[in-house]
Formats: sequence, C-alpha cells, structure tokens
Amino acid sequence: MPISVRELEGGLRKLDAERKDSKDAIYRVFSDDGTLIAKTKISHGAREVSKNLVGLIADQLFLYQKQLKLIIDCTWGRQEYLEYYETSPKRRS
Amino acid sequence: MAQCTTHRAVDTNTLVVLWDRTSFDYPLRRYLIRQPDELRVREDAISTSTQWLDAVRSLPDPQYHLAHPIEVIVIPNGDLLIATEKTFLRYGVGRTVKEAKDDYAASLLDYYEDLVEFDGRLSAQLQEDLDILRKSIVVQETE
Repeated sequence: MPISVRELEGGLRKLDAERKDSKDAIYRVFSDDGTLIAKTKISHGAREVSKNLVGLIADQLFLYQKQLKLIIDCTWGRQEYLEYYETSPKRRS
Repeated sequence: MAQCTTHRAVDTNTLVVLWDRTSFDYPLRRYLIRQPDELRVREDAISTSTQWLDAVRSLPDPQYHLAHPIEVIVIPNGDLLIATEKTFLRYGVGRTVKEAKDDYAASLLDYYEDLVEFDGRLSAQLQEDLDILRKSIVVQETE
C-alpha cells in the first residue's frame, strides 16, 4: 500500500530525524550519543510514496515495512526504534 | 519437498526475483541470468523478471569520480523507474533509466559527503560504507 508523504514525514519526526532540504528532503537519524545511524530521503513534490519506495526507505532505516508502519501508526516512538535498531536483522554489522 | 516449475529467462542480464507468495518483504532468492537458459524454481514462489541490472559510471559533481562502475538494479515503479542497490541502500527515481541513475548518483554522493562529515561519529555499518566508498570515489585534487 502506498503511504502519504505527510504520514511518512510524521513518522520520521517521531524518530527525531534531522531534516535537511536539498534536491530532496533528507532525513538523518542520530542515536542518543550523536552517532549517525541512518539516512533516508523523500522526493520534494511527491504526495504519495509507493510500496516499492516505502520498502527502500524502510531498508535505509534498517526496518522492515511492518516496523515502519508501527512508527507511522504511533505504536512505536524513537525509543522503540532505537531498541529495534540495535538488533535489527537488516543491519550488516 | 516443494515442487518445481520451469521458467524460461527471456534475456541476459535479467534479474529474476523469486518471492514468497504470502509476502513481498522477503525475496526467497535472486538469480542473475547471464545466459538465456531454463530456470527451475519452487512452486511456492512466484517470479518476476521486470527488474534488470545496470551500472552508474559517474557522479554529478566533477570533483568526484567513480573508481569503478556501481551496479544498480532498475525497478519499474508505476510511471517511474527506481535505481537502487543493496550495499549502500541508496536509491534514485526518474522517468527514464538515465534520470533514475542520475538521481541515484546524486543520492550516493550526498550519502558519501554526509559520511565524511560525520566520520568517527558513525554506526559500524555506516563507517563500513564510508570505508568502501573511499575506495570507490576518487576526489579530484583542486589546485
């Protein structure tokens, strides 16, 4: 299912992701000690993000789509994300 | 034991992705077809050959060069195309393959610049990405 950009940006704000505007809207996620742990982007002008792109954005956050949905639905906040991130099977190292 | 069905690859350099019928989150396996041939797959998988491989050979800033092409998968996405890969997890979108690859190259360079900016304050994976990118991206010395 596609997700609206508004919902997705709301989810990223819940992670306290830092936004940087360039050609796209860039979001960087830092751990509590200031370590950069993830970076993703959303194209400017888009109103909806397709299922394929939601999957890629989830990958960039080291999540599966179902966990990203939990963040968008407000079930998960930053703390839950950081806890999941520590053992995420999506991480290479 | 799962039954097998036979699919015939239609072209070289086609990436056949086998998905579990119940979920598109977990590809079962990817096969890159270098030679047209028959491919036997389990019956509980479905396959699509609508992705293909391409390569990004340059970056948008002339100050940076790629030491070697970066292989990307191109995926149709409605009216658009997505270029992406599974190492750095970056992606680019465009109406043509060139646009998608150019957008990917811009994303990769932006990622590299951020990693350089935060060098020493990166997670293990991002630090590893920076180490790989330092071997892949050549910075032109300015006089």
